[in-house]
Amino acid sequence: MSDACPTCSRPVKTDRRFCKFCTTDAGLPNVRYARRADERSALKRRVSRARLAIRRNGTIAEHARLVAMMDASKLVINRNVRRLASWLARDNKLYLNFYKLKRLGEDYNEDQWNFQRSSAENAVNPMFYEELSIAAVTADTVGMSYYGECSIFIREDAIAVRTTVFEENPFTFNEKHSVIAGKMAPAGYRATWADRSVLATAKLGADLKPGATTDDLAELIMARTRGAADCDFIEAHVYGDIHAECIETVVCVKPKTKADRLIWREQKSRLVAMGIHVSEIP
Amino acid sequence: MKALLSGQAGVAVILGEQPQFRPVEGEAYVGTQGDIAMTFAGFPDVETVEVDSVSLLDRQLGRSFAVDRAKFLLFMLLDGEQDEETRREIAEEIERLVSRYRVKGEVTSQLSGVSPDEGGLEKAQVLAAEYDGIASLLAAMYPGVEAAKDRVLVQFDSVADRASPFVGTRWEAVQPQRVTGLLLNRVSAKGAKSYRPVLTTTTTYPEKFRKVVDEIVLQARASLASSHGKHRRGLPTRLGYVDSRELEKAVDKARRRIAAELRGAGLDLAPPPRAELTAMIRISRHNTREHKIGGRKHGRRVAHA
Repeated sequence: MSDACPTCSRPVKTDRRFCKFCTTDAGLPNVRYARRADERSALKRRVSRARLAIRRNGTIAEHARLVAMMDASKLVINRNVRRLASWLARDNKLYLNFYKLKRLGEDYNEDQWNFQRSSAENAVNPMFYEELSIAAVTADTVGMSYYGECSIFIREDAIAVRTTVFEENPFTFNEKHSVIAGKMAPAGYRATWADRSVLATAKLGADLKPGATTDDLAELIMARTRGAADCDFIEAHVYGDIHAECIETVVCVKPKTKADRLIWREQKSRLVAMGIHVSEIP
Repeated sequence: MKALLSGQAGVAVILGEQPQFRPVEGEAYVGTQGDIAMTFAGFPDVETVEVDSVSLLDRQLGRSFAVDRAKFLLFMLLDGEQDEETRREIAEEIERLVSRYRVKGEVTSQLSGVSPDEGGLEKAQVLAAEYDGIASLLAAMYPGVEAAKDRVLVQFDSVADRASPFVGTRWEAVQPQRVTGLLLNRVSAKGAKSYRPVLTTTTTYPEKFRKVVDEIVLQARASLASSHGKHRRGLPTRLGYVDSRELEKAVDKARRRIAAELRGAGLDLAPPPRAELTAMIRISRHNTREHKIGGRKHGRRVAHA
């Protein structure tokens, strides 16, 4: 499963970035994985099927708008104010996933949940899932606030070269495709950040309806409410840490508890002091 | 029922085909298995629990949430530069969380395990002086902080009643004095004037025995002074602060000794009640030196705490 080094053609392991023989930068693991021949050809086949459906359904114009919206889409991380506050309070201002926090010695519960949480992620991003920060793709101004009241939008220039997109939440994906322990996820369900509109075509093309509005399309890309029939989104995987200075905007739904409202007030001041745009939704 | 919960995330999830999400102080909703991963992503304190009822689960979540937020808000106070109103709001919310969810022991225990920045001691002392409600939490983090609620200042309602066989008290009004930022002889009751107790003695106990008791009281006081360590500069030693638990131990010990002396002397008298003995230890009858406080002399043979 290794990739070939672009310089010496020797194998570079899936989770490695540099060739151990000639130290060539072979590229980030998640990006390399998305660019593999089998992934691209499988995605291409899905896109062809989707285009047939688009023509059949008479949604060529809607598809064009979907592509435009996806090309302009943003990366968003939804966290609660507590998590945002921890991020901003850290000396190095880096957003760290669970695995990195664990490596730094942060305390965690020895619990079956923590033991098993990696299995779904490893099935989708084998061997390098610990290096990924998980986010989502959104075409509107609010993320999935039901996962955390703060929608944290990250600047594109900070993530474009190191982000890939994936069909959906890995837990849902593995269930749908019967990916069990020991099995690999099927190919054709991921793309680089630059090709995210291609993945959206493959995933959503057949679901386009004639006359779909911008709101309808945004809802297709990322379901906004818990009540949506298929609460769905396109997941984004960012390789490496995300520095707080890469935050472009934070949109916060008013926290429900007094404690969190106080924490948010403090974070708002910090963000504004960092030159980050902040807005609130009552 | 089996559930996952995270105080940091502020959510509990009842596991099942259709997991039920229960946020703190929010409305419950039904989600998917995939939602669980997204909801708890990055939170290290996720734990699996088995509970008999939803209300128990909510209570457990509430406690976990309260412990996390109380600590975090405290750190915010120590690290931040909030305005006075915000500081007060934060302090009040910490107190409310700790009280409502009854997590003082847990919060204190976790804070005592923190290795705080020594440079924060001064700020912690200021916050403890400003906000009684969180003083003991700050003291758990910074042992150098005297918890305001544990300070042994003169609390007039703790002085013995006049039916004591040993000592009596009379009260004289004083003007509050300000010494290095502290208010002496604080007003004890809302809107009341300031008073201080002046100890007198009765003839119930034989004179010789009163001296024995005096000595025991002095020794108890000295043991508190030595455990307290250095007093604040600029204040008379009798105005130092001691831990109320240390005071209680000293009172108990003194009472046992007095009871033993009474038995030994064949006197059919009870030792002074605890409250009275507490007042005696705090209000030394042997501080006869003049002290300049704020430029005014206090030369009378009166006792201050």
